[in-house]
Amino acid sequence: MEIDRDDGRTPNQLRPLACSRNILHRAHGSASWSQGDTKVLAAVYGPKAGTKKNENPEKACIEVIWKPKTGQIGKLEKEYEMILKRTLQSISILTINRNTTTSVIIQVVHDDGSLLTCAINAACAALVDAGIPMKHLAVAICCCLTEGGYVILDPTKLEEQKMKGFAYLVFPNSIHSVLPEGSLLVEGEAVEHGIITSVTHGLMSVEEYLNCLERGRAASAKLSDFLRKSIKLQLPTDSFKS
Amino acid sequence: MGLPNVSGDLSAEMEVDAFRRLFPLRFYERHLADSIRPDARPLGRARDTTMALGAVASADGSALTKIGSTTMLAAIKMEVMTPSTDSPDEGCIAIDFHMPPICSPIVRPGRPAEAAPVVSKQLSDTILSSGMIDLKELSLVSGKAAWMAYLDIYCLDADGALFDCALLSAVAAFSNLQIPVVSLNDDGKIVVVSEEGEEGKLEKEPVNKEKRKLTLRSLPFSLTCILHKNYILADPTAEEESIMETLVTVVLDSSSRLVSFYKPGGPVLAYTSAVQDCVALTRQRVKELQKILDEAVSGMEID
Amino acid sequence: MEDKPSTSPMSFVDQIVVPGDVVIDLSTMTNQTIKLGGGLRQESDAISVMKAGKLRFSKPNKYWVESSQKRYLPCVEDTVLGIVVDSKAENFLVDIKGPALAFLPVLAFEGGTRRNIPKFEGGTLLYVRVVKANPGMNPELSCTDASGKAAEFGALKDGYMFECSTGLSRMLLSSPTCPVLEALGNKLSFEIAVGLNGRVWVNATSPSTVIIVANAIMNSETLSGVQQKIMVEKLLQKIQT
Repeated sequence: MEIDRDDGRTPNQLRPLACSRNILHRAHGSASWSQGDTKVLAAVYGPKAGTKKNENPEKACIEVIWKPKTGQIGKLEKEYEMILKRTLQSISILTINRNTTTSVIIQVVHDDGSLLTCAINAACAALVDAGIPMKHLAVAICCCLTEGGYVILDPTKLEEQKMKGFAYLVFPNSIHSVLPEGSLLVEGEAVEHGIITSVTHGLMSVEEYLNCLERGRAASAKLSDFLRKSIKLQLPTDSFKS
Repeated sequence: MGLPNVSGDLSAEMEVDAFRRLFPLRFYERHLADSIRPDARPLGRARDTTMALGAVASADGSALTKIGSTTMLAAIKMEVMTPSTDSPDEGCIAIDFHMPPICSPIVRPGRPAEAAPVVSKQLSDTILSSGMIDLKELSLVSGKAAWMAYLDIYCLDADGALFDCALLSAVAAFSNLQIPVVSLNDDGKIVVVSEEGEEGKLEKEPVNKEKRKLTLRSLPFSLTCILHKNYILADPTAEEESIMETLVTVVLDSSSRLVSFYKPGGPVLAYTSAVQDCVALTRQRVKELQKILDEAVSGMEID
Repeated sequence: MEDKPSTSPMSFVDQIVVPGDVVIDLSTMTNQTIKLGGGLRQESDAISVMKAGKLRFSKPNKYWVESSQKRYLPCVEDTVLGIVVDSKAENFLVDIKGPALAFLPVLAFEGGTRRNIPKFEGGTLLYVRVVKANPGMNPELSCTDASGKAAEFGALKDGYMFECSTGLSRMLLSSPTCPVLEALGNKLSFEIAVGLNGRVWVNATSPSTVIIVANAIMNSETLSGVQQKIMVEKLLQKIQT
């Protein structure tokens, strides 16, 4: 059952995570997120007055600009921009700052696999930093399916190339709540098990996809703990009162 | 007029069209509660689908498909190219999706539609990863010459479920594809043999006499669904897509393997049961589409 | 996950919360009216968080999430520093670091009439009060206090303005006087105006004093009270030598 990974990780093991916020001086919110050697910088500007054409002025608009490490943007980057935009729109509360535009700029620093998930996590942390009103946070995870049907998490670029298929999954973070246990269940499932975004590549059976979902959910709990911890660490402590 | 929260009371005294424009979501929810949609479809039913193969005479393969009023024209043009050194015995497929301004009021002349490159990328991902086409079949002379298939899909009318219709037209165009006959000339270069050329004049044997058709394995078919509260609406129109924003596109191949499960955000979260329901609806739809395609293909053969 | 099964709403108070957390369950509170401040929203019986920050509670029933941002969301009765962008017949357009420009009616001055409309060039710095902040509308400002007196509102001449986070400006305005201002005020004489929108204006007779005060304030964002005092002392030592 155990499969060897080049970097000696177990199938479910994520690469070391690092997140720092408020790293750009001029942006209204910023964050860098790295998973192993994959690193993404996200900057948030806004909300600024007015929405673009074709956008609903009754709601706040989120615009995403993807800057690759080198070269010009192509179809892949356009697709990433669209996925990020829809994902961020679905976790933000758009009815508070109506008729405004918030720009999210994603700069890829290094790509070593799981790039889109890394960017989603970075963008989410940057939105928190900018104080954009949000329904909940989002955590993204990449699940890879090997030829043998095993699932490995958070693949490197080398692993991604060898795989039969992979799924980028985004889930809500696990929240702390005062409500009694069980009151947050939807159709018998916890809220954080609902899929915000799913993008898959490659052939797989439906069972294999469901298996990916399950493993992704387990990993998203770890990720959301990490996100919460890093937010706690970096909030300015108003310890001057003490 | 009233505020949205009083719309419930107004519905009785207002004209249907006015109500639909002013409170679109309320209008739809009223229908959904009765398990019916404004165009009289049940929730899980896709719109009528039609297909015409060989719609473009100058292309090597083409198809015009309609799902409801969403219309796509797909055409394939084959060109000979030198294969890359990485894969000397493989051909190549270039897929482009176009949304001209005529297709929808939201596309303006002079400004490319935002959705076009995204659908384009999704299509090439789906077609390449489904393994429908063996790129080795597009090879002519290993290392020297191979086919480059330029697939262009034009959206003539965008009324929702763009990807479904585009994929269907792409698959249909490929099953309509007739690879041109080519032969080696004296310089060792590949030249296209004109169809009308008298057989006797040919001193060179065609390189690809037997390989005029691609063998298509496991065709991918897709279905887009809207998730709204607990409802699942199959094959949405543009109006439905703009009102209820959570879209899920499932692509299955003919042997029911999952090619893609695509959900780009959206306010509604998909739980396992919704995932399974969407897959089940797609399974049904794949059968329908397969039948429509088979009928269109056999219709062509009789002609 | 360390999801503690907590029943008392007080358990989240003074804790760091992140968006999505449900901090109060109204159904368990018997007949209680509560006031929600920034960063909280109500969804039927659950009060959930929409901004990361520290949950605060003030007696008897006020809850809000305290956080620090570089942008400002206008709130009624906040005093802010605005920069005049343009003047129209009825209003001055003022930038207050919010999502939309704010309107300052030309009559919103002490004893303001059609005859004595003040003249502000673009770029003038004003100390103003937010009087209206409705969603979907430009916020409205006033240069008078609630009783129509000019109080200390109006244009700020000379001096130096710099931007900081909203958290820092809130700290500077807190009472008792925050350590950095106290330490500076003991040694130097200067004027200061702090806007809740993350702008600070400093003026003094000598430019060097202005620079020291501005630097000390900007440095103090992440420091504790004791650290702030030490930092100020070090800065002052440097200029005295």
